[in-house]
Amino acid sequence: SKLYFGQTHRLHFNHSVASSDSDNNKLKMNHSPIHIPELVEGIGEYLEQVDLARCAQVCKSWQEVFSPVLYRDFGNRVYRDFGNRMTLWSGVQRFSCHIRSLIVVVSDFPTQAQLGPECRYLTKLALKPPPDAYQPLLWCTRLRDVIDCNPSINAFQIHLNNRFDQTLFREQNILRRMPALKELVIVNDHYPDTTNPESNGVFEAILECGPRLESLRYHIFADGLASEDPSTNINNDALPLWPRLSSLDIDDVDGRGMVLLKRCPNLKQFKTSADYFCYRLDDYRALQPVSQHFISGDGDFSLLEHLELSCLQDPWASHALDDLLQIRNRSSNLKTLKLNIWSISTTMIDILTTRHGTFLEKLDLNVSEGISTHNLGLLLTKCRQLIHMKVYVRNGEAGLQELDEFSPWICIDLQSFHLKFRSRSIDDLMDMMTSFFGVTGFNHVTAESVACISPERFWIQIGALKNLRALHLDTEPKTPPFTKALSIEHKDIEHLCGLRRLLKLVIPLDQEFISNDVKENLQLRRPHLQINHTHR
Amino acid sequence: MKVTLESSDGQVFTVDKEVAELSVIIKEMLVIEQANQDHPIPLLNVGAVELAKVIEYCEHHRNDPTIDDDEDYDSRKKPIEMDDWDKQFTIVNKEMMFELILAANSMQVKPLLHLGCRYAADIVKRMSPTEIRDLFQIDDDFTPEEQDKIEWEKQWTKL
Repeated sequence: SKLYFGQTHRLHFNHSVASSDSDNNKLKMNHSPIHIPELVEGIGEYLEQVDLARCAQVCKSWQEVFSPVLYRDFGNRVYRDFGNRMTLWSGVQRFSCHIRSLIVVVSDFPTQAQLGPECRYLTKLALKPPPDAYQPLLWCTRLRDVIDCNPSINAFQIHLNNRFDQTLFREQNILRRMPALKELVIVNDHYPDTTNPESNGVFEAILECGPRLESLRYHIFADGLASEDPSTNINNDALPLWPRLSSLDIDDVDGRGMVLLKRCPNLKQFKTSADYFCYRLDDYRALQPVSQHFISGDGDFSLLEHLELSCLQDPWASHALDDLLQIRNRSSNLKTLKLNIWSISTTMIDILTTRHGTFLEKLDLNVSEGISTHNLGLLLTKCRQLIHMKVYVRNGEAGLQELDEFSPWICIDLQSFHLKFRSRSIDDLMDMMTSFFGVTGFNHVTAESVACISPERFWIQIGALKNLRALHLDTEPKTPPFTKALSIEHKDIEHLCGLRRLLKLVIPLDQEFISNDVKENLQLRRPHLQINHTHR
Repeated sequence: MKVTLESSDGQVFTVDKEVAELSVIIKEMLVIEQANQDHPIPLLNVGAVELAKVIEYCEHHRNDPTIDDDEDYDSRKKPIEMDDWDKQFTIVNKEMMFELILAANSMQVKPLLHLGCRYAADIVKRMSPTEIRDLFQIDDDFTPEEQDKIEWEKQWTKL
């Protein structure tokens, strides 16, 4: 809805305007953005619900313009106070025509009468039926009524709950009742899925609505036992492909996960992030079907822009990953890569840089075993488009290697850089830090060799990353050697102030690391720099 | 290439075309009136003071990547980045800033509009209805009964 010249619509307010030119704090009412509904909506984007509610209380006109924004996301957070339960839905019916997104986590699902007949424009419905709901059947029936009244629902999210699943998915077939459904999230965060999954009908319901979906998240704590896996009875060839599905997020690539993955020829985003609970000793084998799927040519990897893999803690997993990242004979469009793995092999770095280096913008590495400086340097110099890089080394043993050739630092777009170590040994850490920044600092310091860079040069190196917007330095709490060795002194402030684009600095805010004196000075020089404390 | 803009009170400004094109409206006007660029583009809703400020903003942000407005509102909700310059820019009195928001709206300068909305939101944030009424000089047109009802209706926001 664009506003053209002379067509600016302004709501007329009935209240009188007192003209008091002497009082600068008061505003002339006839000239304020609050008059234009489009702008009120824009202002509402930056307000919390409490603030919106206060604004809607100002006067009738404000109530009219702020209520749609206030009620757009109508949800209640965890809600336990029985005494107030009846008042929760009170008065909603008057504004329910504005509700677009409804979140229900309470034990009693609202009746149609409580929500009001005007609640017909929902696009998003999120549910978490609590285990203590006293009448599951009533809950489900009321939910079904709301779904039937809102054919516009396109995003549906539900937390599974043993007492509801069968009624909702098998008997009431709620997914079939949502003709516009595009985004589906099914999460089980109560217990590992040890019941026979075939009995609740959830997986079958997903398979049925699959062709309509654009995005699916399916986290069910599967324990991956083949005997209980319904996918063993599924004939893959008989199922249609789901060309619309572009984003798939599954917690485990077990049989069910693979059935889903094989349905999706046009994936743009693929995440599999097995939780700690379903950690399996042989999880490297779990990844193999995935890599086979992509390598065999059944899956088209060339559309993939976002890949997130975690819980590959077995060293062998990296072999499967090597295969997976190869994407034989296909071009790569990978922009975001997040890996939570045991270690990074040189092969993997090689594959990453040669196959995906062209487009990679975000790299998030969480590794158990030390990561070699050489490898990091290679990544940073060969992935020219990197914007964000995050490295978390869990054991912090830097596998230091001599750099035999130096490339100038060319990730000039790097905007945020997040480095986190858990190190017990200060020597390790310092070696890592200095060598690492020795490589990355090269955009201006090309003649230096890594060996020459001493800890004192740390802030100089940082100061060379001219495009840096956020700097986050982190370590395990109470490792004084770190804070002492890298502490910010008055002389270092110069380098930090030279980073014109730096907006956020996250550092340990203890006296060891930065004295109040230095901090005050820094804040004086860069009043808009946001300085946050790392450990709480 | 230069274009000329005329404020509502008749003052004429000459700016680079790419600067002026941060305004969606002017960009569209330039496409339509390609042949007729000798005349200044009239901006009937924008005074000279505000126009000068809007131009100052556009000059500074001429090389910024454009905001994609098609994204869903979830992603719009994340706060936009304000750099030092923007923060300095918003240090003006409230009336001036509100005039600027209106100017940015009628000219459709999207980033300035977002900046302004954020500024306005910061002002009313954590203010009580009474304080807001006082600031904007609004009369409370609710009856006490209606106020009680609203208070009751709004309980869910405090959970």
